[in-house]
Amino acid sequence: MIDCPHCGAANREGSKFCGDCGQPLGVAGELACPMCDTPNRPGSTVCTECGARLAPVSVPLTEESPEPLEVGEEGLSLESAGDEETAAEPSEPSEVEQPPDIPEPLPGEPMPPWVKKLEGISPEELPAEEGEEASLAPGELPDWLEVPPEFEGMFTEAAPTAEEEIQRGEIPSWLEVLRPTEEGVGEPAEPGGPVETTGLLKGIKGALAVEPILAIPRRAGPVSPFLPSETAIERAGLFETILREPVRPNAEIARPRGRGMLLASTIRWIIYLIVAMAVAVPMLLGSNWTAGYLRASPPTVAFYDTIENLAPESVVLISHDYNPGVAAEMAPQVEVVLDHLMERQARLINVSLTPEGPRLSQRILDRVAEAHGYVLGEDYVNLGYVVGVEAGPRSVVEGFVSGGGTDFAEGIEDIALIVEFAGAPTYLRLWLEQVQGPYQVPMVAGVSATADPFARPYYRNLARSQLLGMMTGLVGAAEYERHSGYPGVALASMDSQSVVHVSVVLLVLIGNVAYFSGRSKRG
Amino acid sequence: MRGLINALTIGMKRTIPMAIAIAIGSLMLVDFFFDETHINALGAFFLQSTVIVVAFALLLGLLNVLVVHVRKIGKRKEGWLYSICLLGAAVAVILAGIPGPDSSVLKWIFDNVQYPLQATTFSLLAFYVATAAYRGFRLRSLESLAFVAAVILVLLGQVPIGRYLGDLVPTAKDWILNVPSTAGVRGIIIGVALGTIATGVRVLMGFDRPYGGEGSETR
Amino acid sequence: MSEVFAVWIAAILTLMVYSYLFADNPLYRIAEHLFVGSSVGYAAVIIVHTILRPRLFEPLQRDPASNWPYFIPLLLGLLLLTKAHGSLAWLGNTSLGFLFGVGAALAIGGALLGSLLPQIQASWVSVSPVTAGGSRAAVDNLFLAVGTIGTLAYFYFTMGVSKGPSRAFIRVWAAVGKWVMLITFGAIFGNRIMAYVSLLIGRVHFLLGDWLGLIG
Repeated sequence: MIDCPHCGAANREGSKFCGDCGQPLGVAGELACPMCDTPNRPGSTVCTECGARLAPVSVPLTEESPEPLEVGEEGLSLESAGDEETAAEPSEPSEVEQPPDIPEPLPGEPMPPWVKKLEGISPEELPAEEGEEASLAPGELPDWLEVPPEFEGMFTEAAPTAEEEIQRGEIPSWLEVLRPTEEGVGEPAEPGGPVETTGLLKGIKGALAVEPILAIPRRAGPVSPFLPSETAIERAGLFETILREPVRPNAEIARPRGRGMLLASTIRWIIYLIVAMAVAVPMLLGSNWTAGYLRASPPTVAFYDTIENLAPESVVLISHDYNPGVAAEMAPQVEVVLDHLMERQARLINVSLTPEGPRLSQRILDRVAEAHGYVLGEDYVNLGYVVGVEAGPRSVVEGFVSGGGTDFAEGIEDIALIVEFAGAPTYLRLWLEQVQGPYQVPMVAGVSATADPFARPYYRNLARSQLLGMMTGLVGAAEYERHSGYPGVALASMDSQSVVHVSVVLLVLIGNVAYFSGRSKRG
Repeated sequence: MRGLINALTIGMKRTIPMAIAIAIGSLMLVDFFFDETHINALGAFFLQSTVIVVAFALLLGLLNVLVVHVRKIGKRKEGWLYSICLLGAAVAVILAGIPGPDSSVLKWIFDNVQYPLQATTFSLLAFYVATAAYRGFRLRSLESLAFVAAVILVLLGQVPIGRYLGDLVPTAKDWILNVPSTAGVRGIIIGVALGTIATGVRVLMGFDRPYGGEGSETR
Repeated sequence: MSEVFAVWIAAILTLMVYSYLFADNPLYRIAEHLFVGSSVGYAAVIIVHTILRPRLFEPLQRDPASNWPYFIPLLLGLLLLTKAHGSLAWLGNTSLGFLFGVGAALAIGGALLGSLLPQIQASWVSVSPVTAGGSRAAVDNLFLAVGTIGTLAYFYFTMGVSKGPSRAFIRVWAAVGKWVMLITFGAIFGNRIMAYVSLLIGRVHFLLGDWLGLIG
């Protein structure tokens, strides 16, 4: 049973308006929802009817706030740098600290539809980024609950209560000078009229007495003329000058315009042309002058010797780990080595750690096998592509045990040599770590020039043999061709390679000369 | 019943993957270092399985590329016409490959389309590296001098014309590649190996769970 | 398929890619998209035909009863495919757990036996100059050892040691490492240039020789 505060009549529980006088059955201290006008019990943050927030989110004001205005004794009072809206809710300073959460409905009350939707989603079902799991660390909020960074500060500081010292904004001195004199502002006079004794406006004077306000208009006091000080006039003048100046970009961006741009792109084109000519001209001329100066380097000789020392009918495992991108370097290597191996009558097991490897290797195998009378399946096999990063090489080796694809070898011990053609250091490392290291099989490698520095430490291991020999790039193939006495396409390309290398070195030197002479001219 | 399903779900997401990773990983580690018939047999089986599962993973990745471009075409995003080229090429190659990797159409496409395209793309770098050499190697300090000197000596030493300039050139190149460069890369290799071992141990002990689920937190 | 037609197709595609030297243009874009599409399709074909078929489908088709273990990788693989769809992605966690477990184990073993121990051995043994075989080799070996330690110190130092700048000992080693790394990067870059030039030579050889027939 609720008693009407206006007329005292008894009303049913849950009624919103008095059945006798029609006044709203407000409970003291009740909060009216700004959206749907439902009265809510004091202390709640969200409306039980529609779910709107009752305690507004407060934004801290900046320091240079205007002078505080006093409107009245009670009700709202604006304080500078204070939480203006939280003053209306003195009982809930702590509410602003909490992040917005899903409001709990009062038992028996229907849930707003948008709340129902939120409840149904558990954090795991939130769409994760492609390939990533939306796993949350303890204390971490899902993305959609995350507080935007602009408002982050609010929730970490405690909202100042009325008792705490709220800093009055420091008014800078130049603004102080412009402060209008006190008497100029017309302060609202104490309103006359009777004090209200009942209802919501209890204690407020002059709220309902309309007639006196209308009849006697307030008069502002006399305003003394505004006399700014001299410094103020000076500074105002300076301010005006600054405003009058035309807009000018801050700094000149040091980018060559016009002539500079043309020069840069011309140089670019000259360099492209130099490179293209350096490659094409020796090729067109068919010159083979530098071949005379070619000496096989020790790693290449070691590679050659390892194969030369193979017993006939040795089983050799060859891995073709390159793609069409580096095939121009690797194919000549593969061809000359396969030639040598078949000459030594080795039995070849070919695999590949790249999808394109099998096709690239088969092309060369077909060509060389025909020259040596090798038969696919009898003298050599191509087991094709193997994946699995680390598992790949290992599975090849362990697969021999179960007869994986070939009867050439029944285990790793039957393999006399591993020849690895690596287009990238990764593949070399995989074979070294997964097979050569654990099983101590003899191994040689032909690598792309990009992989040479990463292969050297394994070749230059004087304590423990890891790579017995090494061949680097197109030049390595040329060295091998020269050393074995079978000149091929690699050797023929050495002139082009030499001319381009010399051109690049000259470009470096010319570039430096141009740069430093340009600097000395300007400086 | 609901509790059981709940437990199963959490199990599938978190516990079982971790249990499998640790159990099978430990077995493979033992198989790596020791020689025992039963463990070897199990290890070989798991290796074969890994190859198969990784193949599925790669297929997933390839499928993803195609789906991305299908979406691009569907939503008419910028460059969707190029996506049609991409999908067309992929479909053509897949159709050509249905009879098998030895199909002559597939081989023709690989030899005359994919190979030239890929080889040329990488060869473009030669031009850009030349312009970089002209613009980028400013001898402003002792450090840059060391760097540029190494580049020049390696460039000249690797080609036969270096020997023409003098026997010193290839000798210097050999020294640079065999001593300081090897030392530097050796340091890198050791460092990377240490890191690999540390990460692997973390995964095998359950501290790192890169396979998804709910990470290393407890809920 | 006549040979000439094939060569012309290859040559035109090559030139389309080289057009990038002028500027990014539609011809280049088309060529690159064709490349990506073709390599995606090719990899898919190779994977299905040369890995999945002989290693999985054929054993299962041939003799499902005695080859029953193969159902395990089949199941793991299919579960992995669920990663494509967001809400079902958790089904694939088991497969990933398997892959990471095996991968971690192999990586540990390989790094230890194939890289770490041998490379440390390589640096250690070579320090004794007497057995190195000549003073020249001995100096080289000393340089190698010093350089390797310096490089490690350099990376350790730049990772932000807490004792940092006050530890002059590490600073000296890090300085050594810095100079070693400079030369190393120079060597790496020089080799890179060499590699790219070789690749260009390959293409030019094709254009001038196979296409235009200017080279014998």
